[in-house]
Amino acid sequence: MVDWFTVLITSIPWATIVSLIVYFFKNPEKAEKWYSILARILSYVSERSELAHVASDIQADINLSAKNINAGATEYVMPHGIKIEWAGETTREAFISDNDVVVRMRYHKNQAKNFLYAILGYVEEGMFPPARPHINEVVLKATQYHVARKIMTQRNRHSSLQIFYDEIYEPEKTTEPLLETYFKIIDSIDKDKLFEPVLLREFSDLGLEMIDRSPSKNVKNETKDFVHFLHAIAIKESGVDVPTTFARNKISVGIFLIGRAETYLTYGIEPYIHKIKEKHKEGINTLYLCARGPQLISAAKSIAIHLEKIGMFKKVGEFQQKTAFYERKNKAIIRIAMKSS
Amino acid sequence: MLSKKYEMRAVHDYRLDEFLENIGLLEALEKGELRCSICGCRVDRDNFQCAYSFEGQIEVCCDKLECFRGALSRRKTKVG
Repeated sequence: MVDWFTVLITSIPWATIVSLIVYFFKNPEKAEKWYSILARILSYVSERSELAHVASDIQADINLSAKNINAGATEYVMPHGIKIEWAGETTREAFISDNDVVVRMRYHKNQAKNFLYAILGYVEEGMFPPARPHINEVVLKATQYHVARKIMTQRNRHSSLQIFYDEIYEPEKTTEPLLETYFKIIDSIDKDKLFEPVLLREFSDLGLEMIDRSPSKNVKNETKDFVHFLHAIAIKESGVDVPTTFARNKISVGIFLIGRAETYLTYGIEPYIHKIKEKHKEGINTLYLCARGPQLISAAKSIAIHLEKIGMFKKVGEFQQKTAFYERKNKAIIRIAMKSS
Repeated sequence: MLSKKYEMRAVHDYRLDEFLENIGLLEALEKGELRCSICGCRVDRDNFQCAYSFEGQIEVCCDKLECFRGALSRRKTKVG
């Protein structure tokens, strides 16, 4: 007689199931995405599934992107994930005393709009909360919009993005022309891969430093000037010199562009170390080593190790990415953040 | 993994009327007496976007995204 139970047990792909469980445990946002897909199928017959789909679909995408952005900067840029909490039974008095706010979510056919309201609410409150009062208002708004746009693009939320352009960005840029200027500036900074690893990191660090201080015009101006400083580097042509040190009261940064592979191949890292020592004398707090292409990426890593060894700087972050093939000949870039020891 | 969460409280269209009834705004909405706290336009079922507590009152805003942003900037951050 066939022991059907044994056949059943042995035919289950346990290794696959265990691997999936471990994978979803390590990547809860991806598990939530699958849950949202399942809930969507059931949403036509169940109200609970409709609610589950609307919430989990938004949460999964935003939390996944927030994690990606943090990975390129620091965990303090997006310190919180998002959770859609359905308002239960309440009373007028409880609503007022809880200082509550409740946002309407439409049926999932209007999920593009739901997503947009959620992402705007999220960046408005969830992006480096301690830094917000200290950043120039237009720079902050342009940064928020850029992050919102980046998340919508990453998650293929094209309908939400279209509503964003039509209903927010286009009308606002006519009443606030500087918004368009800074939106474009930040876009250039991002194209040169200085957005997450440098700009967001510095804003986040500023928030941590200023956590119990009152906002000041000087610091706000500093944030604005810092954006212009990075922009000049981002758009600079090869062979053109622009300032690479921004040593101010609260933001004190040196950008070290590691260029000329032949220098590295002929002389090693010594010429770069010499220049960095000079930069260090200018009193910068954070040094960013920037390189493009495999040879110079290798140089950047060696320089970082050497600077740690001599106790001048301590490595606090590394951002490495392959850029789009059409952008440059050298397809990979690296940004290494180092704090002065 | 992002351990803490920014909690966005929400109401789904399924339970909108029940929610508005609970906070005492349904009648005003049906009579056309609700106004957006930001732009001042009339708020009905189609364009209602959010309700929030402000200085001991309940305010609402319409579904214009600029009004929504304006309403959010007046609220207190809730992190759970």
